[in-house]
Amino acid sequence: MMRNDARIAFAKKGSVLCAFLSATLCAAVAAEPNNDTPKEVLLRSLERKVACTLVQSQRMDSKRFAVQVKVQMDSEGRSRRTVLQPLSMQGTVSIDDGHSWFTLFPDEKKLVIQPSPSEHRQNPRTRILLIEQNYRLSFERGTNIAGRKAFVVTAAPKAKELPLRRYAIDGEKFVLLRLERIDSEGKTRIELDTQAITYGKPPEDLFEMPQVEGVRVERCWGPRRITDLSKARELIGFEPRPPDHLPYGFVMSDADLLGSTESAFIALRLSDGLAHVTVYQWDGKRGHREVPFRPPGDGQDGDGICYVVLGDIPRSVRKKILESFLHNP
Amino acid sequence: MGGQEMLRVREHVSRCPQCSEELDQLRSVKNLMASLPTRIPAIDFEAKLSKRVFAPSIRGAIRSATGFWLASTLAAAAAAFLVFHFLSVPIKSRSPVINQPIAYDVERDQAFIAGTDPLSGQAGIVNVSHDAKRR
Repeated sequence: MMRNDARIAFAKKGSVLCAFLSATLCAAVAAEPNNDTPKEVLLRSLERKVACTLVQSQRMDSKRFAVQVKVQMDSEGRSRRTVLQPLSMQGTVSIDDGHSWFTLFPDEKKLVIQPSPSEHRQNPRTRILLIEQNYRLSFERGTNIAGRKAFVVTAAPKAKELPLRRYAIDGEKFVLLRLERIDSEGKTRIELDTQAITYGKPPEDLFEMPQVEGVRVERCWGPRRITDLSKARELIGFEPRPPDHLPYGFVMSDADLLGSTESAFIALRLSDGLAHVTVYQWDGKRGHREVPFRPPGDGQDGDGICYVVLGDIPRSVRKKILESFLHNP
Repeated sequence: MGGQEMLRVREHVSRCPQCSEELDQLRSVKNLMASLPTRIPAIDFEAKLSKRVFAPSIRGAIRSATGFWLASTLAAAAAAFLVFHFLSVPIKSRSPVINQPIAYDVERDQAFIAGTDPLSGQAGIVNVSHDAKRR
């Protein structure tokens, strides 16, 4: 009898030990992707187009608050975002079909149509090279988000003023599930978080232009890409001259024209691979009604050109970038 | 709730006096909130604020103050001055205030840029249409 009890106790202990070892092994598998480097995981996340439906909270940087959004995507890269919260934006629908970007504002009964942002995406392989130049990529311990095992890729900036970014990426489908941004003082901000995710093809008609009766349609032409900056003079009255050297490893990726024929201004796009900055420029001699910001914006150079620098970077970095434009020889 | 569903709700509201009245009240509050201006401090705001807060003359005056009440009065006066100076009239000329209606182009552009980057973590949605901003 005593022997039987000892055997049962031993068997129980054994099964507990087995369960513990299995759990440890699973955690290790979640943390260590199969022979993939952090660079490859990030690259796959940029390249792959996965059909899925997510409920996410995402930051609205212009307003400094987060919105809860239902995101539906298909394997062709088309996407539909429906705002769930806050109440003031609820029901706003944004559809990107790869050619056009539709935004439906139900409160105003208005549909805005403009060129698709996905057509302006940077080449992932070019981008990953720039990321490698400016960040050190590494894996952290894996995590579990919305029931999915995720790799955690950390991008530590080589410039200490820039924030560290921590990407939690689905270990099987390579969809970005969480993004944390840690500033130089150690303050963490969650930029994106996933509450729910299901994989599978959403209905085809989700990505078509919303057909709603009584809705006014506004078509916008911009932003329009400029390939030759010397030709911008005819449109904006001056030729933008990007500095030869930008701080913190930023490079100019593109230039776009914005505004209208009477009030056109230019946006120079800068990137260090992960952070994005836009430098808006306009002729300071133009009337106040024709310019995007009250002159002189963030600063004005010797030729009277006004500048405003916007982007997901700390203020000190914005200031350094601005100075490189203002003191451009 | 998606856009189409939202419009069906609106259709009901147009026929229901009770819901219509409630919606009007909510909308007026929302419009008032939406009309509040967005103020973006200038790049050097923090540096100037720090300089003024820690200006030697103010610290010196506080240090030399003999009584608690005198120090408190000075601190309150300095705080009132700073609040008035930075948050009321002069901030308009210091901040890169967006002009209407081109402001909408900038906001749309920022959402556009967020939409070009699958790793940005930002929503890539314009929060309100231009018409609503003008109301």
